[in-house]
Amino acid sequence: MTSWLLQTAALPEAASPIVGRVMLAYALVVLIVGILASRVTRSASDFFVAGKSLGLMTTGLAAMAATLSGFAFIGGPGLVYTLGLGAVFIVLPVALTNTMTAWVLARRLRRLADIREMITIPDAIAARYQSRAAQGLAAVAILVAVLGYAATNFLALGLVLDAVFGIGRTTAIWGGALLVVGYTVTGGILAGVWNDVVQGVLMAVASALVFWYALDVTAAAGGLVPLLLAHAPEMLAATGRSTPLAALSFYFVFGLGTLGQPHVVHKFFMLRDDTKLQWFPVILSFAMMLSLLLFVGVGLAMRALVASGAADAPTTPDAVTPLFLLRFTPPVLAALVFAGTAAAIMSTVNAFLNIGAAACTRDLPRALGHPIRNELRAGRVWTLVLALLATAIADRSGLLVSFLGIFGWGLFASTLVPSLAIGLNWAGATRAGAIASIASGLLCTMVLETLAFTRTFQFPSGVTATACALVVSLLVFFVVSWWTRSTAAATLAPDVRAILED
Amino acid sequence: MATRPRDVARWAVVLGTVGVALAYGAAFAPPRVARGGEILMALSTPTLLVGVLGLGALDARAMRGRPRRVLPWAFVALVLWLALGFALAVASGAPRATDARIAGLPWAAALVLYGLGAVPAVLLPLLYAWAHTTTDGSEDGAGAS
Repeated sequence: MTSWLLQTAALPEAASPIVGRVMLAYALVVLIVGILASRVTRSASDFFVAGKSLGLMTTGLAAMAATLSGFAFIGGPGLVYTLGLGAVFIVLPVALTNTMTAWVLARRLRRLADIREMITIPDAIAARYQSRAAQGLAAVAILVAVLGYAATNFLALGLVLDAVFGIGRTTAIWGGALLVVGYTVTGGILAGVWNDVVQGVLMAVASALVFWYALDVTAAAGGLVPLLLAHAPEMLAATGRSTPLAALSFYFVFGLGTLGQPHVVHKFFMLRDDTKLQWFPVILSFAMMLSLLLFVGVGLAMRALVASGAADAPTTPDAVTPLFLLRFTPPVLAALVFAGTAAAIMSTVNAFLNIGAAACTRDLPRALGHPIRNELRAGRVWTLVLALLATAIADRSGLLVSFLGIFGWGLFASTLVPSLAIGLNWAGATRAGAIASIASGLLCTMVLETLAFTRTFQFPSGVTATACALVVSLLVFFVVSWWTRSTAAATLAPDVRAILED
Repeated sequence: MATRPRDVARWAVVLGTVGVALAYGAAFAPPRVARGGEILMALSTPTLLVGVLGLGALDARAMRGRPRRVLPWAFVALVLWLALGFALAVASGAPRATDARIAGLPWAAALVLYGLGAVPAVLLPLLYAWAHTTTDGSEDGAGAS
């Protein structure tokens, strides 16, 4: 299902002096932030969880920036252009998930980090179930997902840079990767988080301005709603051109799956003080709603403009946003959105590389009983290794990058939602239930996504491999935990139990 | 100790998961059964998601303070609101120019963007902030951290 999350096609050429200058200025900001962050990164805790030093606003903007990849600006509006309001069901769960993550995970993860030495999500799973096997399995799932996700994001970054600078795809991919790796290796997650703040503000402001232009341009042509009702009324049906089951599936997967995205939820380890969480959902929701205006507005506006003959039809859905920006908005705003898109991709890659490096540096060695002594140095080395691997995949193999990319969201969701999100809120969950659930999520996602990717098996409309794997891992978690319920108490350390229940 | 509302939330998660599984199973069946699957999905998805929300929110700490009288009913209302909205979305067809408008949008589009999107997006964070403030003051005093 997540294949359409990937941006693999070239974008329309956007080479202009203003766009180029804004992008270069942004790259300079990113590098300066990386250098500044490297000066205060002195331990593995600094490198992986920013020394647990973040305030509320920073955590909120960083969580938003990590959640929204380039898909929010490029792929998403293209999908709205294609499916109408059906595609909005991907972002609709945001209405719930911002508060849900705060209630379900934020305080418990932060308090776990206080009582145990904890810097990764598999660390939290190990503490919850007192199980190195569960930690190791979760780390394997994260590593597989990270590699595919990072490769697709490097490719997407290369496509954006190529569209702006016209330097060729290979140069653009390696150039973009060099920039991301530079600040990730030196400044760790702190560099990423500081850049996330810049990026979050940039995304919210640019998105709101583009939305205003979308309404303004369509108003001059007859009005967004009247144009759509006259030329493409099905776009404004409740589930657009999607089947109802497909739209509800979007809501289910992206609603529940959010709780299992480690690059987002591990930001809660970084909070300085969990009592300040009170306004976290308000800040996150406000920033998200602003940033998603572009997602909803541009796709519908372009459909209305194309249907009424005021704009040419885009050659691919991914071209919807670039075409709208270049044709209907001032060059400075177009430049800001291109910079915002590149920034969104970079922040997502930074977060992925960081959690991938943590899995290699900390979770897998600990699961195997051989912890690494200098985790900061190992973390930097593994960040570099993973980045090189992901960039090489992005550059060399079109088919492989598409194949690996489909595992990202689904693997995170099916392996981590039951064991982490439910497990941290239910004392009856058992170690066996968690291990069985993570293993079944891993297996189901890989098998079902492969069957769907190779077209060996055709799912009915609305049913997806990701959703099936998520349902299976949830059911396995409940059934095995019930079956082994007599072991539940032994699975739970008293200090962890106190956090679960209060 | 697990609270009673939290037990209810856990059962909502289990029932919601089974409902979603059955809804997907129905998609493999003939069209008449598949249509029933859509309705089941419309009811099960909010039950499951709000159940998870309740699992996180209705802990012993919340049950000691004023939220114990408000949160469980707020979550029941949220399930009903979303389920009704999804069911209407499933049942509605393509809009017509003569359809009633709500704040500039045809009713079906308004239902999705305002009813299922904006309303919970505004109210839930405020509910969280309120519950955070009114939770018995033991947040720090409990000394959990």
